[in-house]
Amino acid sequence: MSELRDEAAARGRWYGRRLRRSRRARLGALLLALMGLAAIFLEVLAAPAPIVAFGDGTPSLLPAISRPSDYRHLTPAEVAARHAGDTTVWPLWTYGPETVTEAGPAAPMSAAHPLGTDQQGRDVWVRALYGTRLAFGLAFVTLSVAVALGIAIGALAGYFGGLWDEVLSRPIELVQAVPTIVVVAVVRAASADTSLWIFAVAVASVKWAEVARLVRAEVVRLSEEDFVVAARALGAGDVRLLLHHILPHAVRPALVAVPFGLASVVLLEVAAAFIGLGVPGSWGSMLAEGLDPAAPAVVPLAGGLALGWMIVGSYLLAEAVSEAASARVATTATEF
Amino acid sequence: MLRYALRRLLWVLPSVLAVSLVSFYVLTLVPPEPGISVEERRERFYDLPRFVNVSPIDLRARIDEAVARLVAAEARGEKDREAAEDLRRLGGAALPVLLPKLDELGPAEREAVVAELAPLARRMGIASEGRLRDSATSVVFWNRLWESRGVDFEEGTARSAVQRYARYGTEARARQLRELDTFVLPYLFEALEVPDSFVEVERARRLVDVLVHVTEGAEEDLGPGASVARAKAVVQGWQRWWLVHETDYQRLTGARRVAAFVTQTQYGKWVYESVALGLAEDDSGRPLWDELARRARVTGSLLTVGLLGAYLISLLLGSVAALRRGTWIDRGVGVFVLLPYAASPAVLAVLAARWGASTSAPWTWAVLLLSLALMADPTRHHRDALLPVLASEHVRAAIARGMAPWRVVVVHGIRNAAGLLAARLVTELPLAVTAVFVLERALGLPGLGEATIVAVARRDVSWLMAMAVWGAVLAVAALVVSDVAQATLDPRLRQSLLVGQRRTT
Repeated sequence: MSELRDEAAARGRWYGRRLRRSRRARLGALLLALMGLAAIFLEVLAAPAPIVAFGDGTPSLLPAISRPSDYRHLTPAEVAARHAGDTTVWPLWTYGPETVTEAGPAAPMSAAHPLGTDQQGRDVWVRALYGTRLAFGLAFVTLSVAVALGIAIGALAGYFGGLWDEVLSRPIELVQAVPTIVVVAVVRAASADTSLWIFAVAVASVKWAEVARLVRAEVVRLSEEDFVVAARALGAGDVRLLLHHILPHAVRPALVAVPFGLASVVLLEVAAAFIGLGVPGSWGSMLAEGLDPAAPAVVPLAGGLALGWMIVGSYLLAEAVSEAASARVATTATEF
Repeated sequence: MLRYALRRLLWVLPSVLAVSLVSFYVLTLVPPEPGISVEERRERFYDLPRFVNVSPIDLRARIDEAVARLVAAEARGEKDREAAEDLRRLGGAALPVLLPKLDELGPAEREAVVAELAPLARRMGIASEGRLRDSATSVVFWNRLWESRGVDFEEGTARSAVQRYARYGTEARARQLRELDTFVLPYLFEALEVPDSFVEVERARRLVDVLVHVTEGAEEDLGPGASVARAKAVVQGWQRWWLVHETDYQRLTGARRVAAFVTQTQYGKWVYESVALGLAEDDSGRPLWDELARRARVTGSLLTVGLLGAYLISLLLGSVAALRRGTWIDRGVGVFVLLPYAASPAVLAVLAARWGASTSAPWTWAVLLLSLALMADPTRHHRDALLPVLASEHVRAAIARGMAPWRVVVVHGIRNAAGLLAARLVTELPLAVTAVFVLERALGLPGLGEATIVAVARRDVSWLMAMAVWGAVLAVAALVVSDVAQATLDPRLRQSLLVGQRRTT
């Protein structure tokens, strides 16, 4: 039986090798990785506070993260005055997304402000950078919830079949086709909280259906495979069969949906923010500012380019993943 | 196939019910704003449970409470003005319960309760001030009244009295209704219909006259010579008033009591108001369904033409890319469809708005941008589906014998692609709705998206519920259209659908 299971694992390894060889996958992953790194190490690139400050004998590491409220509303001059006698290491750009800079509103591009400033005097480049963290954070939270929920519901529907399947498959179908923006509107109206969490829960409450559909189909297929039949014949229970034998293989195809999901979640948030239902500070709100003819064109441009970067990255990766997955199916008969 | 489509359409009802229940729950999580008046709380049904009311309050419960309070106040040697006011408001409808109940009370308590009925007797026009001045006389008066007139307080008598009055409208019949007071309210509302002509306005005016009298002007009067539109508004105002207050004047017994578990709830009232009465208004006071229908035309036309445009472009580009696989044309098509997708509808909308698209032909611009934004996914799928067709032996043989490649695409590819695109409709539609909302906002088109943004800011529950239900209907419609289209195009799928297998397999 272990040979049978090894065979299924070998398919997975082959699929991974094929993905690593794809140029599109490598380029997509590179684009996303660069953005991901910027999102993780954001305070090293741009923050209203120093990276490290030694003053009064006490070192302070990344105060922009540990004490954000101390710095949020200070002007750059006030922050500089605060750390006047300290030994400090500053980030490349000493502004946060909310910092009103000394350059004033609609300042042109300069060394200090690579993309100039917006109507309120905030640095456009730094705003776009912080939008990256928001986009990745939102996609991570949303997809984690959606994938966990989708795997659980899809596995139950696919494995137990019968009434379980009947009861669970209808919501899967329906939720998949429900316009997510309407769900977001309903949740936004019910909660004054504009944080990322509420938005993520609203989107995840719809996105799980796609994962559940894929997992269900895969679980139905795998339940008939020889290694599962053999395990059942040897007396494995439902829980062991599902968790140990079926799900590890069923989950992989479902993960194909993740790069597509990344793009769709970010696009949805941008659309929602554009119409005033998203999370403040996202690329969508930068784009919405572009509707005001008086706003500098660079604000929506920066938001649009950042969004385009991420979407192209995830699209290329998703294309490669989907192609590798379909090639696996096409060649299964000959290779194994 | 028709049977299958009908079976699937039956799923609209449970789907809409499920979506509306969940949406209603989420939307009513918001607590009412502080400082709201008691009457406003009632009008918005905040005092009712959300979905199930295990102990609905009816006329009998209100009478019991008012009497208990009056008796308690009497024991303390005080007057409970609020309970007395309640009793007066409940009026004639309370008499069949209240007067027999008086026998259960002690003499002093009975007199205390009866004393509060004097204003009611005046409203009913059945006693002069002098006759009710003394408490003991009042008790005798009400006992005699009930012995002689109790038979009038019957459902059949009241209903026929209302019907006769609605038809003939004589003063004698009006007096008869006034004597029955609030007891006739259920039958008045049975007879009261939203008028569509001047004849109906006259009938409505007669009924509203009695309503104004017995409720002491709870809602607006409909004076002589009112227009049809004004009469409509007044009648709808009264209908809404009845929706809020009906259980004050009726006893819930038998099946009505069981039904009240569901109907006397926030959700039950919302469904009845918006579906049965069609009374719902958005926050600006415009009739909800009219507004929804008007805006759905804008959004619906954008969605239909935009999706159609995207599919047509993708058929063309996907076919070209497949025919020229691996060449610069194939790669060019890939980049061309990816660019608007990556830019997202928001970027396209900002660019268009900056170029003045919102002032010149915004609808055309919106359709064009929507088609461009949505074409990436179907183009890729059409191209990928066409490749194995072009590589199949019979097609290669046909091409070798001189068949033009474009004919191969038309004969073999389009049918294939149509099935595939029908399957994608289910996932494409939610994206399209989002894109339409963005384009409406950017180009100032008066569609559902624009109104939804305003509704979210105002927390307009009626509009958002309507949108949630619209979303569910749209979703089920997309599922049915997608399944039927696929089954029509693919005989293998038709067989599996007819034996009851689902599309999720």
